[in-house]
Amino acid sequence: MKAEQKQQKGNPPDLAGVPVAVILIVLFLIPLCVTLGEAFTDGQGHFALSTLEKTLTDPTTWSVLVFTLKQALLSTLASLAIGLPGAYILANYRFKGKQIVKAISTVPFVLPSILVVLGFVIFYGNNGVLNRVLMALFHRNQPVFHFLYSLGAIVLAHAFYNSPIIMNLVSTYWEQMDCHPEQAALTLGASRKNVFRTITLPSLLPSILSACTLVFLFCYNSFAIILVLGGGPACTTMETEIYRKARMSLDGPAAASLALLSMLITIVLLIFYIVLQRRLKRHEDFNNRRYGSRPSSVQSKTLIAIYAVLVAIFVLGPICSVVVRSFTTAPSRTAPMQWSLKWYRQLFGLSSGKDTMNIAWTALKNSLFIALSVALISIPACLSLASAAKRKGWLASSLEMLGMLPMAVSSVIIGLGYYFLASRIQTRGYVLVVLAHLVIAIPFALRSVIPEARKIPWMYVAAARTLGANRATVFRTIEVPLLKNSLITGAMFVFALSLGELNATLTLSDSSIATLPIVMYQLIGSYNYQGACALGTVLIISSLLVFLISEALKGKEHG
Amino acid sequence: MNKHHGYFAVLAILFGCLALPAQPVQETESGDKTLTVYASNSFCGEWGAGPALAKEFQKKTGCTVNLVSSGDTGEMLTKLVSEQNKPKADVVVGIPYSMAEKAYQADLLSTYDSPALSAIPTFLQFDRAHRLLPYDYGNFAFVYDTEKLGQDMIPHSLNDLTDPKYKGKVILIDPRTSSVGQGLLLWTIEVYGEEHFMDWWLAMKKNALTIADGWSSAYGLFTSGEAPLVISYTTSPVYHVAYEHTTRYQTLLFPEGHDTTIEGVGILKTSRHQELAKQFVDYMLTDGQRDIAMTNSMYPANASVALPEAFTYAPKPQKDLTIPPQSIEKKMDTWLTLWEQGMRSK
Amino acid sequence: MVEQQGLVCTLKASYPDFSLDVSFSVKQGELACIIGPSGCGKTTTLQILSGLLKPDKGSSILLDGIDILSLPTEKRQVALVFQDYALFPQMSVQDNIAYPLKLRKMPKSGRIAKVTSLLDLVSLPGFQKRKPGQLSGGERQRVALARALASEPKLLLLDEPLSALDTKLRRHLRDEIKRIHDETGVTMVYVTHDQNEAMAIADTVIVMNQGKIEQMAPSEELYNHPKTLFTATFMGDGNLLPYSIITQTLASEGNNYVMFRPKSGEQAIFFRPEKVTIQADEKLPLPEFLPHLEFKNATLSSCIFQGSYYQVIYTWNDYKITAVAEKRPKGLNATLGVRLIDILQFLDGRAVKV
Repeated sequence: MKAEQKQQKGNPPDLAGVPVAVILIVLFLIPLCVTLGEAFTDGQGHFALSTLEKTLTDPTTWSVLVFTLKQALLSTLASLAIGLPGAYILANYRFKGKQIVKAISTVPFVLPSILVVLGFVIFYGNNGVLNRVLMALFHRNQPVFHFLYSLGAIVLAHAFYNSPIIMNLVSTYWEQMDCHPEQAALTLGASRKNVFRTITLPSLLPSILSACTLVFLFCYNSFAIILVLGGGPACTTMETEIYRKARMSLDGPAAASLALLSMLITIVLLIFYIVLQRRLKRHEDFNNRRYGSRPSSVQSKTLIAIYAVLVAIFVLGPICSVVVRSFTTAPSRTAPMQWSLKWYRQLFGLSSGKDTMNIAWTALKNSLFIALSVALISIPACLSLASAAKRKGWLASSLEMLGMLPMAVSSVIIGLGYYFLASRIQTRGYVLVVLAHLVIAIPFALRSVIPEARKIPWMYVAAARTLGANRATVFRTIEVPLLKNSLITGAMFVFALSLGELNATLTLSDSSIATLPIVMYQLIGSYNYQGACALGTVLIISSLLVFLISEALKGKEHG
Repeated sequence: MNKHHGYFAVLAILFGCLALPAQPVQETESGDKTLTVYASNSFCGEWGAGPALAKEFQKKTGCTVNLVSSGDTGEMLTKLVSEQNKPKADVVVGIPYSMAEKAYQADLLSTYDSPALSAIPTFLQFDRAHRLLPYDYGNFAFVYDTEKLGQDMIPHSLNDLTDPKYKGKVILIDPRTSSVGQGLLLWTIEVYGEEHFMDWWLAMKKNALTIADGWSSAYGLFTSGEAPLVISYTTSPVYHVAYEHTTRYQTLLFPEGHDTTIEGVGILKTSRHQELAKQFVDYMLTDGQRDIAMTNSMYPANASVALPEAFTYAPKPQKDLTIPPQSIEKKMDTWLTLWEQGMRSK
Repeated sequence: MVEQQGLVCTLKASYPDFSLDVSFSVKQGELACIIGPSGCGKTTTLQILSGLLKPDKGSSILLDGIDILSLPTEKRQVALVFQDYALFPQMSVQDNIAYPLKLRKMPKSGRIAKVTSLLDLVSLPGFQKRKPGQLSGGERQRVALARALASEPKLLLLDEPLSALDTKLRRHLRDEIKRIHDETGVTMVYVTHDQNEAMAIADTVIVMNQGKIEQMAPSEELYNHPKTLFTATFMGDGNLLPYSIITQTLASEGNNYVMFRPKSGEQAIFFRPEKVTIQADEKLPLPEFLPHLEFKNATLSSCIFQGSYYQVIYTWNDYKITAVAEKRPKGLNATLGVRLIDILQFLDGRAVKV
């Protein structure tokens, strides 16, 4: 370690990350500051602290904040409870289809939240699939599960969204964890339970904490789920309150002051997360990876099976019901459902429907075009930022913080910021949308690339240089190939997130650019649930395809 | 720094590509003969009046109508206010009289004393200054699902709804985010007075399945079968009769009376197509009224339009309740704060 | 039948790249070393013994008369010191060593005392509060050893414990391990690829190659009487020449010595460098009276200083012969000799008794 530090001290600061930083500043930081700056004005545009004062002294502000924290905490715990056993199974057992499980588990995360809400209503609603099945099974008249539109529903929907994240993040770390201390403890006489409690869990803790922080952040900033599944004012979070103040009451300064307060907390969380990430042990020694075993005892097999079935219902239920719903239609409301491609035909203009429906095809092309552009741009952007951010020093840390910042900001505020931007900058709508998506999605790509960039032992670089390669060649021939997999993962996330992005696109393009989520949103708004389901299915399939393609592009893990 | 030159070249090229005329689909071309109309989601939606109106107007005048769906009324207003410096809209459709003051205060609209106003009853013309011209009106009412609610369970007044037997069976709408929700709030104030309207809401807390953020989601939940009662318009069943040929959904009339809403259309001050906009407004208030009657599920403002048969399923309430817009503007914030505080506490 | 104490085991296991088939026993209190090249199955053997890997049917492990094969790792009382020490990173040295004591519910005062005595045993007094990250390689190794001893195992396995350390430290710690073994009397199986280490401390040495045992014997016997060619070449340096050169080099004074003359098969002869006599003065004969082989006109090709001796390599008829000399040989040419009784003969890789 010491030699590496000496080496880095000698190098000039890496200026590669600066252009990307400039983009981030112009596209994100400045509009953000302007929007937040409204918090320091009164209604007339003069500088004043009165709005802030009013917000901070209003008791409802604090009760809303408390509720936001409460629902985020409960959601995180629920996600942990559901996701952790899955992480254990993925990390410690070998079985066919592991890759498929991992691929599917990333789908909920990239679905736009309106689709999640739709799926939840269709599946868990009073008239939803689950209830109808249960009512038929138990011959009841009244729905069995009626927890939708309450705090419980919010927590559940969040858990649906986020437990796969925990499962993925923790299992990846767990798989690579050095298994020797656990084996040593066994030989010293500790029972397996004891080993888990005293050895495994403490080592796993940083990764669990870091995954939980991420999930907490998401739940804290959650919007559509709260709005629809919450059931009313009792379930108001900071984000929905900001939305209401900004869009409904048209009270910009009040919304901005709330946003400021909200951001203080998310920034603290973000810093905590970044620090935790740096503490995660680098697992370079692949020889010590655990070699998964097949589940042996009947007891473990049944437990795994039960867990798998429950989770499959929980996660796949809403997704599948959306897909299934898109293929059904009823000639009239009271007739039974039949299989039909009617919605798809309408959507893609293959049969006469109302004009608004036929733009789905265009929306699909638009979405793919935008998503692809964003993904491609994200690769060099990520590379620049990651190689600059992986070093030590204040410049590197601030770059990393800047890159991750969009995750901490309310999407409504981002949307408002872009509104401001759109009215000032004269350019074609697409450019701004692509750049906006880039800014929003880059934190997720960075989260995948920066740890890998940090893992590259400086010895490789040093060795290459002694062989005669200059810094640029070393970068191109040594570092980039090592980062290939994480770059692909990052680009894939960016692609999927862009595909499903709604808020910023809606604000920015003012519906003149149609993307899949926007059309979905309009369809739901026109209460055309079935059409929305059809589009949602298209989205799901696109996401899955993207995952499969990216997995194919990735090579084997480097040893 | 040459290690990144290649990548920045790629970046620059992509930037350039994006800046080039990309797919021109759905981009607004502000040509001379295009009128941009902002309207709510339901108006622009599949069965809203918007698309039909636009087509007819295009056929008649040869100019294109760009119908922009802008969410709920509140969102529409926000959009217009924030676009003041870079105006895009020429006409805005669907501002109810309860939210009119907001539009006036933002000084968005120009006045237009349309000749079509002569065919519209005076009690509907809520804006003496002719900034917002009424194009349809209706009453708020609870709509129920005949398949899910037996005859013995039908409520006959607002009071009835608070009965415990309706627990989890009523879908309400948030007055802070939706004009329909606001209508419901005004209705309770009209029936119970400013002192006691909160009693009804507090009693409804248990019975409400959810307090949805907008009419679209509320009605969507209703038609998905989540609950048998929803706050909507008296004319809601018309759509189902006309397009789905079912009388499954029916309006409930309460003897205490129903709150009314009048929706207006206005021309933006900043519009560059004032003449064209005026033509559109005229059209909306005359020939366009037919489309509105057919599709918008509200009563057309123009009294001379014949109502299609399906409107027999839209019963007219015995009493029309209203509150003067100035009172609404003055007191709305207080009412909403009261409402919020009441609904938020456990 | 007297119950045999110590370790008696037969291990059979098959893997994609090789299969393991070994049978051996270690007396109670003995220190046995398993040596062999990489990939021969040494670590696999240890992992099977400790229970971290499962062997195939037909295997058995008896420890002090008890069949432990059916027991899970935590019940076998077999401790394992890993190559990378595997100290628990978030615990102090005290907590690491006390870990097995805590499992056995020893009260705190007892634990503290025991840890202190163990640290003294491994020559690390006062190290209780340190964390693994603050220790050097040698210190970590000793803490791992102390921790393993704390669990009072019936069998202590060490997987190449010294391979990550530098030579001087290695030698010192090797002796420390021997001393600790003698003081505690624990049965130990020690795996290493360094035969000098094995020769120095082991009571018996097991030579493994490709999953099988080549020979198991005390180090002197392995060195002087290797049973297989592999063992002969693995344990120390030597000269390996084809049998046919005997006819060219046999010096026949007083020769009643009968050489084994096989009819078929691959034949080789083998002798150690230190058994080679060097006569650098051409004029003088080789000072060797017993029956021997003589290599005349050997040319010096290299002379490497090793501190206490020189390693000299001569070329004779395209063969390389390594020998040992106290002083640097004068001149390029020399005559080399080796006694017949110092020559080992091998047929098809197996030693032949003469």
